Amino acid sequence: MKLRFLMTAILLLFCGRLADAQSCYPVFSINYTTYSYVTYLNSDDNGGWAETDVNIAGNANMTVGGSCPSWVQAQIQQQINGSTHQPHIYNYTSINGGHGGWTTGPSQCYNCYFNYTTYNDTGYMLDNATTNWNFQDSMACSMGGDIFDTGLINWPFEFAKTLSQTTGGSSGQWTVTEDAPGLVET
Amino acid sequence: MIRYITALLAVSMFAVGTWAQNSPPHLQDVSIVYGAKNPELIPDNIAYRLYLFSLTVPANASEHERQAQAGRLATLNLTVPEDSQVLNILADFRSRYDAWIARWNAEAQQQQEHFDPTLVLQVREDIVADAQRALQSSLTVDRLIRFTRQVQQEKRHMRIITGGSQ
Repeated sequence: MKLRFLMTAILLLFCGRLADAQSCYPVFSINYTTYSYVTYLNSDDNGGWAETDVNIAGNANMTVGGSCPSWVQAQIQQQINGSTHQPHIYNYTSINGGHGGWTTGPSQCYNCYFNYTTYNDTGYMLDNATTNWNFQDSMACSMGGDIFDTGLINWPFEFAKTLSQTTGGSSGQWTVTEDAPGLVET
Repeated sequence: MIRYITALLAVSMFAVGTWAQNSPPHLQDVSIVYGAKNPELIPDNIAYRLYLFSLTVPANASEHERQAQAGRLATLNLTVPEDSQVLNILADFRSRYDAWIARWNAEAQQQQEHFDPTLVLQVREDIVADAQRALQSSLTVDRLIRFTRQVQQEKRHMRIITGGSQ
């Protein structure tokens, strides 16, 4: 009886090793871009309004890797086909008590193409007042957790007006004019 | 005998369990190119696609969206006729790009693991190239240089994420 149990235990270990060498698993490939930009909206004599935009675009794919019986592969493929991806974007400006935060995009099929943008108004910014703009992009998979995460990125900028100085013709006087207001990275 | 059969069943279950490893896939080789550090590693076709899209608004754009678009276009310092032409080019680009995404997602959902994006991706590149050509024929040399310079500058704010698991 003891011998039988010993043989069973050895067989158990052997089969485990054999199966391990022939295991199947989901294999990922990803191809995404992210793009963050500030848009000047409007201004008055003392300051203006801007918008911070963050875009995530691209796609992923998942296949079955490794070696195992076809019915096991089919089972894993079925799980992949049922999985979804979902983008998450953090878009936050610190000025005016803080605007924005995390936004979650639509959940779509694992090999769908994503093109998701968040728009965040800064609120009124006084000239030369610097705001910290923090943003971050990530894509979550219902099967594998976070596919990627750019990490938190900080991009300070301010609302600024520039002055141009030109000669006033033959009299040699200088004329100072105010250019269109713009956003300056600090 | 019963013990023996039980042990054999346990063996078979263990083996099957190991075959179907359903543990979450691990991404081992994800690479992020940060345009802020290496703008030269952001290809022009990607930079143009992202920048062109940022200049567009949806077909049913709100007043706020059009105002933001005007703000983005103001940095290019276009003349009024140029502005009108560029708006048309951008509207065409956006319309084709949105249709392209809809087509991709419809095919991906329908074909699942049999979906091959190779040909579909080429269409995306064609849409970007067509918009670039239209801009070249609509803008003066000075404005085109300004546009090109702006695309290169925008690379600092772009990132490319590629890779996968093994």
